[in-house]
Amino acid sequence: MSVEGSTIGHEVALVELVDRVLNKGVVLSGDITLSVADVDLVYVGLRVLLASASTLDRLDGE
Amino acid sequence: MVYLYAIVDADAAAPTTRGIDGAPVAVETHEDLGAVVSVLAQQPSSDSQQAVLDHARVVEAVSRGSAAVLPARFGRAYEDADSLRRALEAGAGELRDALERVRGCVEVGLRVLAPERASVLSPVPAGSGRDYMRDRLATARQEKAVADELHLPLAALARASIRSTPTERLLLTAAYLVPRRSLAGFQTRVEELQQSRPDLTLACTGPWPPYSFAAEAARP
Repeated sequence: MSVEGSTIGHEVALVELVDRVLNKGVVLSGDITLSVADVDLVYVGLRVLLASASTLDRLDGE
Repeated sequence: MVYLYAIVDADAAAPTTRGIDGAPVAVETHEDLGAVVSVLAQQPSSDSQQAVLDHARVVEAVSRGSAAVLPARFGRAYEDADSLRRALEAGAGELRDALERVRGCVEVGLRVLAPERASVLSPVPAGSGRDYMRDRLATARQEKAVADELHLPLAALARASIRSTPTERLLLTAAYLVPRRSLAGFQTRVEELQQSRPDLTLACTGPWPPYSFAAEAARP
């Protein structure tokens, strides 16, 4: 596998991890959701990762 | 407040790893159910990216030590031990069912990326709207057939699977609940499928704690 390929693999894994932790998993009744102010930053970080992954992907295909 | 990482069997050992904000991790029990928790100050002081990774690390440590783990979604807490106990009591039936469903299993994620389509890049010749639509429909059917060709043999090896709606270039996004003893065979099958379709990119991740298969035990 190329260097680009393994970098994509690493970034995909990080995106998959954060997606699971934030959006999957069990939710019970009666909870209080943490009002963490900068939760959006996690998504900003994700978009950066996705953008760079797709850039590498395009370069890899050329 | 009591922050929840995961639901386990009551006899599961608490991981020695630290939780969010470096807080110790404990297992609070209700009958045969255990809740993996940390007692936190009103709000975590660490930034949320760090907290997300801390949450993931605790869940990972728990799942290494226990046969059945239901990861909790990030950012959920209870005012005190009593309100957590009431939540466990209210959801007990569904939580027990879900624990049995994931027992002995891990989750494997798969994303299948299509090569960039020539038809997207080349301009549509004038007057060929009908041909264009026909081609697009044929392409969609082919993509569905390819996704089936990859998904069905993997789903057959899994205890359960979840398949998401395909997007522009992602032919297939799926999660598979795989018994630990079948994991090596499952990964070999993914490699064989990749070899059979070198034009596609199969991004296989995991093994993960079964996040995607815990969500079904939702709010009562």
